Amino acid sequence: MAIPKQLPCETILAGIADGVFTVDLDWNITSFNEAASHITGVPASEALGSKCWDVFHSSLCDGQCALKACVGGAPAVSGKSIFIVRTDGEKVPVSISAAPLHDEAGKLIGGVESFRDLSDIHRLRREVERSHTFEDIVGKSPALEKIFAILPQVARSDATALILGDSGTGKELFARALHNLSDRASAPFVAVNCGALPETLLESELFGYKAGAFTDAKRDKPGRFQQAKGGTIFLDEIGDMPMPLQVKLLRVLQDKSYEPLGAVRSETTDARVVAATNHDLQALVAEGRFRQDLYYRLNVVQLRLPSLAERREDVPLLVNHVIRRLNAVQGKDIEGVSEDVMALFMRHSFPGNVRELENILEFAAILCPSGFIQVEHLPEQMQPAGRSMDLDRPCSEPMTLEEAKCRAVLAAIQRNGGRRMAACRELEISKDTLRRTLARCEKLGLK
Amino acid sequence: MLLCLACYGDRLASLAENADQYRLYRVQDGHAEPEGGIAPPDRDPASLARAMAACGVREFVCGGITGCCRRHLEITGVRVRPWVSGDVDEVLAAWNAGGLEALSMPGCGGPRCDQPGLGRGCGGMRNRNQSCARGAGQRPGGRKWETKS
Repeated sequence: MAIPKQLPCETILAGIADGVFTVDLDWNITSFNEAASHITGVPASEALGSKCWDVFHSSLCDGQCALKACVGGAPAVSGKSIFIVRTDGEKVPVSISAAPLHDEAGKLIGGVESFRDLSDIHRLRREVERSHTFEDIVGKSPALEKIFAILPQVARSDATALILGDSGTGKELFARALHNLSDRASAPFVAVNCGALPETLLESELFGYKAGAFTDAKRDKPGRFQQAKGGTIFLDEIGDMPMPLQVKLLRVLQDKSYEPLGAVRSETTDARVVAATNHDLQALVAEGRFRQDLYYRLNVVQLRLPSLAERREDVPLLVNHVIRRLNAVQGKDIEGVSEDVMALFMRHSFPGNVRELENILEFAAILCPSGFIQVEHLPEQMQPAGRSMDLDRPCSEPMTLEEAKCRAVLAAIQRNGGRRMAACRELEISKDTLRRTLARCEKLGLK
Repeated sequence: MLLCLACYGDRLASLAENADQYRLYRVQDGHAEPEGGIAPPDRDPASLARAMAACGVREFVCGGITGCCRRHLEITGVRVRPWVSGDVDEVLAAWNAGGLEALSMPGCGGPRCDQPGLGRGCGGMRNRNQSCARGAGQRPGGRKWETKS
């Protein structure tokens, strides 16, 4: 809908909450509305006639100007997340949109940029994240809320707990939470990876040895069970524990006693055992690779952690959480991720779960030490351009309507051995519709 | 005395953190002679401040700057002259004449822009004092390049 010509543009611009400014072809500011003054802290009287980079001070101003790109013929920018720096040194997150300006004859005369202050949204996001953080575990999904609800009660009991979940779902984090919330919090939390050591080494690691037990055993060495006295021992990858050791662990769970290598007397332990695995222990039991009696001893309380794909709504919270940690640990100054990146994350299946998300953000932080992480900062496999359509992806996963159409068309072509007319007949569409859809697929970077 | 200008091309960068060159000038008897530049390993405030301190920069002239970056630099003993705009030659001439104020960026005519410590500028996500004190001046970083004559 066109704006009637007699309407005063200045009044309209003055009444909107977004900052708007226009520039001529020499990047001199030609108009600057009230909201723009309010957000940047620069009065319109001083901004007018100045170079836009001297007023806007954005993360893109020197060399990556979105407005310059638009005026130069690139597509208009919409909703790009960046930050500007106000004259008091305060960083303000904004979302910008930019487009070229043409006169009535169609001649290029400059550009227009609008920007929205995202400070309140960012502040709200941080508050939401804080309210959904439980013992350093971040999430608000129903699957996780259910675990959060029972975690304190489970922690207070001394029952053995079995944590199940795919790789990268944070099993050790939950084990630590169980320890921190228990009465044992002041005693040690000892983690052992049962899959990382060979059988003999794992036995001496868990139970320790006595001097003279074997060559070079000059002194007694306490095992991890002894180190975890009064605390919690976390046995990760319990599904990889060798059978002979499973018997010894069973005895610990039954009698609270064990024998260090070379010892003539049993020792007792009061450590609480929390075990975890990404294997299907019941299947291992059925295959005879895991003792059934040990499985039942371990499986007193079972916590099944959802994969990240099952709690997709937690992705934004996790992203903020990881970025905050990267900022604190690595001295980065990252504001967040752009909306494009977040959209990509929301569609990604994350087979590596939270660990994969952390790795992606850590990679991006190397290329983007400050400001907002953009799509180009992501690892190559996450880049949308040139990505191939995964036709085996389940239909239940989130995707755009365009993606769904591409997926249907590409799958039909594949089913019909590359014969396009056969695909058209199957889909009941014309060959022109097929051609247009394929062109859009290519534009989306889907092959 | 070593002076550093945060530049983008032949002008001061709009933001100190955005600069593509940190040009160094040796000032003697009122004349500023080019003395190469600094390529910090990273653009985060702590790395930038460490690089400046390691090269012995005493004064840093720049366009916009976040409060965080400014504090990092000032903790390492670098005097920051922010919110200045203009071409490099113009800025050097003004600096020599003691008239940088004339090149103040729009909205920076008053005292507000020259108050150190204003503005969080660290994303607002970290404790202000911790984030800005940590790292600054801990270890030298960056490398200095020489001007080809």
